[in-house]
Amino acid sequence: MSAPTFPEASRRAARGARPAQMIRIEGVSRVYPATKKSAAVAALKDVDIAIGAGEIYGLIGRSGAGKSTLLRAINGLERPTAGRISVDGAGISALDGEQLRAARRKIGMIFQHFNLLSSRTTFDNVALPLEFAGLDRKAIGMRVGTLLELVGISDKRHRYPVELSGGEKQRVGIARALATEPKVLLSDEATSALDPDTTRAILALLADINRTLGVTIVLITHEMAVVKEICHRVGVMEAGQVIEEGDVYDVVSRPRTDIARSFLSALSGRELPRWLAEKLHPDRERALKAVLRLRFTGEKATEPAIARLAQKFGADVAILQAQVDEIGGRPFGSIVVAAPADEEFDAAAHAFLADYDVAVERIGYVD
Amino acid sequence: MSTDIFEQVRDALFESLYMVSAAWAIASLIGVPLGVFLATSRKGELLAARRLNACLNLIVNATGSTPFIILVVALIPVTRFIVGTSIGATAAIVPLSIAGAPYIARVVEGAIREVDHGLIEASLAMGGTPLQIVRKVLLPEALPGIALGLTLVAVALIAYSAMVGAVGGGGLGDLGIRYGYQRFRVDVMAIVIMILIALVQIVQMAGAAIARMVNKRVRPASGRSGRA
Ligand SMILES: Nc1ncnc2c1ncn2[C@@H]1O[C@H](COP(=O)(O)OP(=O)(O)OP(=O)(O)O)[C@@H](O)[C@H]1O
Ligand SMILES: [Mg+2]
Repeated sequence: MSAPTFPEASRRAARGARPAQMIRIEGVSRVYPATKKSAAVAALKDVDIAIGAGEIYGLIGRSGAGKSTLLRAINGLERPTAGRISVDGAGISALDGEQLRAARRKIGMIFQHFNLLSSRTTFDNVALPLEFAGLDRKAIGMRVGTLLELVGISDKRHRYPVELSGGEKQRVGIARALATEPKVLLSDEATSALDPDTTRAILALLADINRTLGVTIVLITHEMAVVKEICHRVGVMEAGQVIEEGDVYDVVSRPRTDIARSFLSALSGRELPRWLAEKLHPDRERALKAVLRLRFTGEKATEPAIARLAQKFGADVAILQAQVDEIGGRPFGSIVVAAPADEEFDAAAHAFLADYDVAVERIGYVD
Repeated sequence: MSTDIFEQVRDALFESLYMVSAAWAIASLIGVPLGVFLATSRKGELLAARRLNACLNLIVNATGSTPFIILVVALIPVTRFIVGTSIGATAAIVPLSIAGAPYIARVVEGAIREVDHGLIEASLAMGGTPLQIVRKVLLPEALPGIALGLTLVAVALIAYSAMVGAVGGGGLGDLGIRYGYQRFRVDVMAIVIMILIALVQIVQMAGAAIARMVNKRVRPASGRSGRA
């Protein structure tokens, strides 16, 4: 088994310091040319991302935002029409033939539908990339053995994929992706076809691989649990661009763009309750109450700011919805309140809440 | 006299088996690689070679759409050139092979195109060369379909071989025509038909069994006793 390669890098990434860069995406665009039936599609528009060694980077965004296109560009399955991508110093977008194949062996990939060969057993599936690489049988046998051990499916080595559960299949997929000792692992919705418990187990495995082997992971997901449980940083994509990027905690607790905000609240189940959503309108003039979303972060999340707010203003601040979440052990809260709709209250409340490091967002008004 | 008929039927059967298996083997040798190439050489595919693909496609279509009996006649000069004669079982192998090859190519092409594209993607991502991917991924994954296809073609060749009998190709077809049709021996005709049916049945069953054996996409039945 390979010794842990980048434990230091991994730890640094976890602390948020800038580690050495593993993946650089610079000014990358991808235009799918027009066909007889459809117009040209700009799937990626001038994307810049730098991902550090040992980092777990999450890509989120609506369907069709360009996530898969970007991920597939990292191992050259997709050719950018402009820009440059390098992985561990190798300029992927400029490579060809044997050089490209050599670079790809240093980049593992796992898939939503596993993409295992139905004609091969667990053992032989994991052996495939090693056969491609031209290893002899003995070396393959030893390597596959350790990999199956690593992902915890040694007992299924002679089973065919059809005899495995979804979680087991993904473990085989992970073992296969790690066979050639890659420095980078790409994951396109690898847990989307799994139930929540299995998802958690697979995430734990990925986090473990990241920690012990120092493998840099780039993953696409539609699940908040994935983002919160294992990502260090996230990028939010929309219409071919990365519109927001940063530490998971910052992006999730305080999204800066509307798109990120609505996307994240949908993901985390923080959508407004239906009865409230239906009554909301944007017309201040005829409103009695304003509906505000307050976001608490850091240590302040636990301070009783809301109680003080009510205390100080004596106003009837009604809590409509409240939720406290945790990312990497750091709490953040989101509270939706109905407050008086006059400007005076607004200004005073904003100032007050700023002291408590609470972000205020006005969602609308109710009668 | 009946021993005489028996010997004739036996010899005709062996002749038919000889024609069909030789033609089937030759057609497979040409058809399988051709099918693999057709399935992987369009634009953007593994072995992308658009011109050659279009060219071979045309040839396969042309051969495939020519009625067999016309093919036999049209190929007489070629057969003479290769075998030295255009009459007899060995000569019949030429048109049978040439009719079988495009058929096999199409069947193999279909089976390979059925393979999930995700597997090709995954293989490319693992750093496989196009030839490695064909050999280690596409062919094994398409094997159940290929086995069924080859069976189909074997059955078709049995039927064709009976047809070449009609134009002097020997074998069961020849016997059936000479005795059953020209000499009104209904019994000989019946025997020929029954043997042909049995042959097709055996080939069909063997092919299906092999296809089932190489198909790992289906969970093997857990118990022996299928009945509840
Ligand atoms: N081969 C292709 N040809 C033409 N257009 C394509 C092709 N692949 C993707 N696109 C388009 O590019 C855009 C981005 O697609 P992409 O698959 O990257 O989205 P995504 O963010 O991964 O979406 P999802 O979350 O649904 O997987 C979409 O508008 C899609 O229609
Ligand atoms: Mg996608």
